Amino acid sequence: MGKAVLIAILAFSIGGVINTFNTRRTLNETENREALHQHQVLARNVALVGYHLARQRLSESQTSTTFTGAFESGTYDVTVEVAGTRATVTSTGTVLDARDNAVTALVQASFKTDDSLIPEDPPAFMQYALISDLNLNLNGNILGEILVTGDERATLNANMHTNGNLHIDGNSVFVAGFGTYVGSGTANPAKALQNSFQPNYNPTGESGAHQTLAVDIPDFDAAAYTSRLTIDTLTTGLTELAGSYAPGGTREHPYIWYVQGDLTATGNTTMDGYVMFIVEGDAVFNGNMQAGNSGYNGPDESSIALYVGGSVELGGNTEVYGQIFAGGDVVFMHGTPRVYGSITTKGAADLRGNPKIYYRKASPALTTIWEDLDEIRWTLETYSEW
Amino acid sequence: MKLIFDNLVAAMIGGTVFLILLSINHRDQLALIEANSNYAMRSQALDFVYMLERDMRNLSRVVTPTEEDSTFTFYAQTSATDTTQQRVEYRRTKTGDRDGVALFQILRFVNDVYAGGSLATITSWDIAALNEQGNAVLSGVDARQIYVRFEALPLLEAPVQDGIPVKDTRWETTFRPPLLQDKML
Repeated sequence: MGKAVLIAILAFSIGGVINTFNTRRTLNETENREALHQHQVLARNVALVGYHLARQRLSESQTSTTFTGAFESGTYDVTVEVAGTRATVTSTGTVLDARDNAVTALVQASFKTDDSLIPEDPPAFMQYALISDLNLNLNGNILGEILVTGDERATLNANMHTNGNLHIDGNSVFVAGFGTYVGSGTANPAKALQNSFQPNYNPTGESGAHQTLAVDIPDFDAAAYTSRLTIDTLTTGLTELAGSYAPGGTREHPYIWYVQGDLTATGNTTMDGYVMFIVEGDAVFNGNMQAGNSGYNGPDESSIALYVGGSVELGGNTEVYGQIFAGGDVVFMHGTPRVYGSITTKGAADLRGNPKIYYRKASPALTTIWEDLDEIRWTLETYSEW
Repeated sequence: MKLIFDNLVAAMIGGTVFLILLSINHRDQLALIEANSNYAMRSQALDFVYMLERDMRNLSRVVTPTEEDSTFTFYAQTSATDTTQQRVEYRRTKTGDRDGVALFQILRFVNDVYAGGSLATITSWDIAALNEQGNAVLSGVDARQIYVRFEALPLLEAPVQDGIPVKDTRWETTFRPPLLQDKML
């Protein structure tokens, strides 16, 4: 009997230990799951911090970006991708649990805007065949013609404007547009002032050359421009272009080439793509700079932007395609330099020899750096957490 | 005679000890069942809460501002890689009774395909769309928040013993799905 009782005690004790062990294991598993959930809540909070920062950045700058940061004991990795009128935000929050295992939470959202990021027209100072903030001198066999083809050609003018004084020497200037000035308009001989400007489209019969109000031309500010863009290529010092380039780029996503120095084009340079050059120094074109965008079928407009902080010099018989903005002067050297596009200069423009400007409208897709983007409103389109 | 008496006493003592052990083991078994049942309830409730949180945060449109025919319907993104908004239903179905209290399970359907659910011992379930001020709405388009509350019993029915309370679980929160808020950045 005593043996039976001892065996029973032993059996019940073993059973009790097993029960206690099972209960403890169940308790641990439950508490582990609850702890995991708490860490997931923490990871989500970290991801949400990154998401809200991304929203803030998107409202301030409509450009793609990535950034990381820390919040409390976690870190977040955020990607903002802007493509046309849509933007996607991905924020991953990570925290470490008690065993240093990473617990992550993902917040995804997409935004759209009804406001096109690309305005319909470029700013006013980019709507001239040639415009200068200082004096404009036309002295030589100068042609201002319209390059644009199609129906739009009938209503376009290759206008020239100066916020300073306009002066013409000789009778060999022909501009298929208006000549306007803020200061004085003079010519030698005097009749050349009106004869030089023969607008292509003049429904109200205005005189070809006349005084008008100033057009505000901004100062060149490379730092401000590049802060709003995603730089694809950065070169420093003297950047020399020669040969064929196909950097790509589209109207929605132009290829951005930032030159921290001077830019020269020698020989025959061809550029296939939708490209914006931002040049801190001077630009000298001693060879052709031909451009096109083989994959583009949109409006007839420039697909290359040459925004130069210093002066722009066009020499010899060069052909330069693009919309040019110069913070300094624009100088046409000897020969027959030809520009297929438009020229805007914060300095003076002195045209001598036989320069030709074949006006093509500036692309508004390449002038967004001057647009006030505060008015662009993003709308949350999709949102999910994982 | 003495031998018989000794054996009788030993049998009585042994039987008493055995009965005491049996009783202790029985109580231990009950406590074990209740504890495991309770942990299982907490674990399953956590799974359900996790599913609820994900659906509510990813919700984009409310179809029924409150339960209609025991069903709450809304649209939400149900996949991390597919932004298509899917029709999600929470169908409340009765699973039985316990001590006169009806038990339910909340079944989740995505485009009429079963896709998870709650534990089967829900005793109380409230889900309703609210406006910005926290008042009930009549139309899903006015929904800005989703109020959710549920109570559940342990999965296994353990006999209630003195000093061994059988606890239920309660969970309650109000979600503010981003896609129901002002979407302008």
